[in-house]
Amino acid sequence: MSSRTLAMGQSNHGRLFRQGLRYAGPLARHALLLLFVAVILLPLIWVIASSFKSIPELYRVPTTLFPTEPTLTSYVFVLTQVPKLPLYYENSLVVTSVSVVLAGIISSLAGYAFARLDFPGRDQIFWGLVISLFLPTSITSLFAVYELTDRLQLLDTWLGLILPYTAAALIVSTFIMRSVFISIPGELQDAARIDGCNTLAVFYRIMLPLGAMGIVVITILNFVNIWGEYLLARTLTYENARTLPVEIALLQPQTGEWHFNTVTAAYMLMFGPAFLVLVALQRWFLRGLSEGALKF
Amino acid sequence: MANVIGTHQRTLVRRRVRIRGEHLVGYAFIAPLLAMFVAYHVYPIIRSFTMSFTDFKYLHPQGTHFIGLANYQEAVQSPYVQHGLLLGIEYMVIYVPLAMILALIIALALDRVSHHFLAGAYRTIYYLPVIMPGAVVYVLWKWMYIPSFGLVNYVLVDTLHLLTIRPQWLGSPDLALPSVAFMEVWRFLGYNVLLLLVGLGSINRELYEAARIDGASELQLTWHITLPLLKPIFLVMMVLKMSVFAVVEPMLIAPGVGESTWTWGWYAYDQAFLEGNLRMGYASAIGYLGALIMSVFVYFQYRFFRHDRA
Repeated sequence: MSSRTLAMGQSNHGRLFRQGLRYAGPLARHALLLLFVAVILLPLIWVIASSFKSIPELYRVPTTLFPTEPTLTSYVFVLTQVPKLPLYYENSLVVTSVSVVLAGIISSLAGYAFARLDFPGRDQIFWGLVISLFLPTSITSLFAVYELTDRLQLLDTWLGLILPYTAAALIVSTFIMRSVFISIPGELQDAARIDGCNTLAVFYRIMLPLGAMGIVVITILNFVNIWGEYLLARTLTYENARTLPVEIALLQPQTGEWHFNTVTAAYMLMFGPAFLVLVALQRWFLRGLSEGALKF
Repeated sequence: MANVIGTHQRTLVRRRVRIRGEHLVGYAFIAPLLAMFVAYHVYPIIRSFTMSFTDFKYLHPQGTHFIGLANYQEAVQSPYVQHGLLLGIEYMVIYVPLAMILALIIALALDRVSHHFLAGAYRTIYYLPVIMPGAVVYVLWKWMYIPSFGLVNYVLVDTLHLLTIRPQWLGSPDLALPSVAFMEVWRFLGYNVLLLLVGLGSINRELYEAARIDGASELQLTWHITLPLLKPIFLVMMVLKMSVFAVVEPMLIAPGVGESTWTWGWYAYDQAFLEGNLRMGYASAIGYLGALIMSVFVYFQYRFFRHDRA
């Protein structure tokens, strides 16, 4: 390579510099990427590390990132002193699971209809739904939803959260499911029809199994969004149906014995398991997101 | 299914839409979706819109009167709303460029990483905050911003010695809103990077090869091939991010000192749920005022975007 003949006007210096730059390029690249890895990971490490600190070590100046004497006292504290923790867990789990399942079913049915069934107004309705996503009315609608939930006497109940969560998740999920069903060849549907299946049977026996990938993706997507939803949960619940995210935001540093180590221990307990599960499933999640993004 | 014999006539006569039996199945399949959509999307919009023309107070619903544009008048003249709108713009101006440029730089670098596993590892790490519930992220940063022992000052002052003073991030009127904006940037970095990676991935590699054969440098490749081809996705992302103008949640959990983070979105929420008689009528007017302004933004962005496409 270095014995390349020089054309007129080319100098050797530039080429050597460029060859050096060839290594500088990847080096700089990874340095940059690693910098942001640190930016992303440091806060998370800080939380985890702090949850294992003892109180004197917590407020020592200058602070340290990692505890020199790790302890589990804060975890014990949270587990024994927060009687409502299982309640919040239960609320979050129930509300999220039911919403996700409901959204999956409804969006599959609707997605299939938009993709493969024929009825007047089909496309207009669909694009009307999509357009509604872009209306900047989330804040004002919140007020009306609160009033509606109150009128239905669903404030501070599971159903009071499940319904709006499902409704919110439906449009994007339907969009994705429709894309999934469109990509399934129509001949399969025709063949099944010839064999005597009615629409529901076609849906149940053929489309659903083939569309299972899409269902998995929207399930994970919806789970992540609903599990961590704050605004609606805070507005529509008080104590009985309170979910984890709202509780977390209310754990103030000043309230009595809640120091940073206990607060972080609480975070770990509340969100650790779900977080680990999601990281394990993240490959599906990323795929779903890129598919959704591509469609947009 | 098609009536072959009548096709000719049909093209001459206007088609009358008849709902046949087989159509009912389709309607049945979308019925649940439509029911929920109407209940939780259509109805709230209509209800809150009509609400904005009344003096509806949630704690005293009796005696609600129709007051026409009085709410809107009050909102336009209110110093809180005006300040809130300005804060919304400031937030948008800080967040959108910062988020997009950072994500672009990282995506460009990440796209060139040839080691498949390493690239995947980077992506996963960047994506972690997106999996976390927003509330957790905001609460986390609230702690991190604490001047005395928070992580931000610990790193910037104690470890790296980049600063000599310990800034009061959320506690200082000038730094509060940018601090909140940076929280959001951090939170969605992985998501933005992912979207850009998808866009970068759709660029034909052969273009690069051809240019390299012609002797182009890496920088030239990026400037003349990558960036122009990325422009459509980049601009779409920017338009979509305009919605942060209406931000509410971060400052609800991690507020700045005094009124420094009272964006109009937050203020509307405050008026409806947190303050006084819960004046939802007024709050709705604020909301629609902001929505109107946001639509104007989006429209101009879209016009600009369209021109560029040509």
